[in-house]
Amino acid sequence: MKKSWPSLLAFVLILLVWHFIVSSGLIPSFLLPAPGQVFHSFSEMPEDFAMAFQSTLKSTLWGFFLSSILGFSLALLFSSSDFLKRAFLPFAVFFQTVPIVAIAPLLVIWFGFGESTVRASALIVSIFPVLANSLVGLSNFDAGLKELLNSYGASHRQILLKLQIPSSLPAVFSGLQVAAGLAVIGALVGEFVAGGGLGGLIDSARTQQRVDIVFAALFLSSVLGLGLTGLVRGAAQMILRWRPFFSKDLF
Amino acid sequence: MALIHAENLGKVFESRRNRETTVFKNFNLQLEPREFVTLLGPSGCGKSTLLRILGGLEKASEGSLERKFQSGSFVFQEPRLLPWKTCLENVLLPLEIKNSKVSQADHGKAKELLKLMKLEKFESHFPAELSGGMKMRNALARSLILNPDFLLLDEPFSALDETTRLFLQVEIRNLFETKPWTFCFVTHSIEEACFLSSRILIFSKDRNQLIEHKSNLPNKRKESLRDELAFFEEVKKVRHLFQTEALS
Repeated sequence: MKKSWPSLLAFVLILLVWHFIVSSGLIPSFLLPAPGQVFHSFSEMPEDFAMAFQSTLKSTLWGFFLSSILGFSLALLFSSSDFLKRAFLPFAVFFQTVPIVAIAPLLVIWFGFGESTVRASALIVSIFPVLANSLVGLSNFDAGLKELLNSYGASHRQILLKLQIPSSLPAVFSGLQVAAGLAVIGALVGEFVAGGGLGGLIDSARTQQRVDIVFAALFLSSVLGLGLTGLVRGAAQMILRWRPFFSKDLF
Repeated sequence: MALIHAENLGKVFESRRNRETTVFKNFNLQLEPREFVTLLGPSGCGKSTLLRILGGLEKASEGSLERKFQSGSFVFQEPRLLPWKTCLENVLLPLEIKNSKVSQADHGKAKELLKLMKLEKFESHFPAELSGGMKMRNALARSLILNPDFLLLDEPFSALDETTRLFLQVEIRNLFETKPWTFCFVTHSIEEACFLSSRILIFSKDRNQLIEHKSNLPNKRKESLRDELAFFEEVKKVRHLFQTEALS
């Protein structure tokens, strides 16, 4: 609580300034609704928000979970074979450099309207940070410790399990933290083109000029991102309580 | 039968631009079982490289090398403990690598070694919770878990404060006097070499010869030896040899 009170204070301040700007008429409410108006829209259609939130949460978790598993597995594969790394890493970089809004229409063609496209979008956006960070982590280990293990005749597998993977954990968790936020963005972009979830709600509210609903959905999506990032940080802290794989200042 | 027999041993490093740097050449040496041999020379003369070649971590560029020891174990300049493993788990690491599984008897043995190194109260501590001297004792305990007949120590005390260093020298010497092991120790400290060794091999200035000095000190050595005249004379002799053969 001690650590989060400055951001809570800032949040209250922003709400107050925001309220003042709208109530004084500096910006018309059809462009920027007052905070009260945004929170009112929740009570106006709670079920729609709950369903949209649930749908985006499901797709985000699905995309994030798969990108974590796939990203780390690919990093393991690439770190064990320079050939595979050189052959396939450029494709991963391709997905990173092409904006997801450009790929999303293609996903609709491939997977159709619905959850599959949203999940694929969340996966594509969030996999690269996991892959890139894990790859860096797996190759950045203490050469002295590797020499020690070699002096006892350790196999490649033992070096991977006893040194490379534990040493990579700080980088892996940094990647997961970034991926958690990106998975939400990926899911929302997917929903813009494939429908459903908070993205779909934002899109339909936009056509009805309901800026308050757009803001409410944006608020929920940021809650989702913060929650997921917090979950990763919590997992890192749990691991740290078990064993000092990395400095506690990192997370 | 010699534990190590090397003839005309040489090491050349190749730099990126294909430039060759000769570290040493034409080294002949023999290490007998149960002796404490110290490789002495100024910093950067190739002592550690020679030790790594003797232990099999590096290959010689030239010459022949016969190694007859059953099991060798390294202690490096840094403790090289896995930060996420406890004191006890770090000691068990070589057994985990050799046998994949660690038995209850292995745990007992590791605990005995920690007791020998006066670390029995710290077995569940992680390296970050230990002092520099404790970490080095932890590394020493680890090096003994596989019952090595040959211990290779690469300036293990160079980063420690003087009190800890002197204490650990006595501990190492006690191990040598009580266990049937052979020690090959690297240092640039003449006092350390004199206190520990039964034989000192000094790197000649042109790095093509190891100059031998056999210790005149008694086999049983205690801390108090450092205050005795015999020790001062030994240090003086080795220093003279070092200055005339290795430096000038």
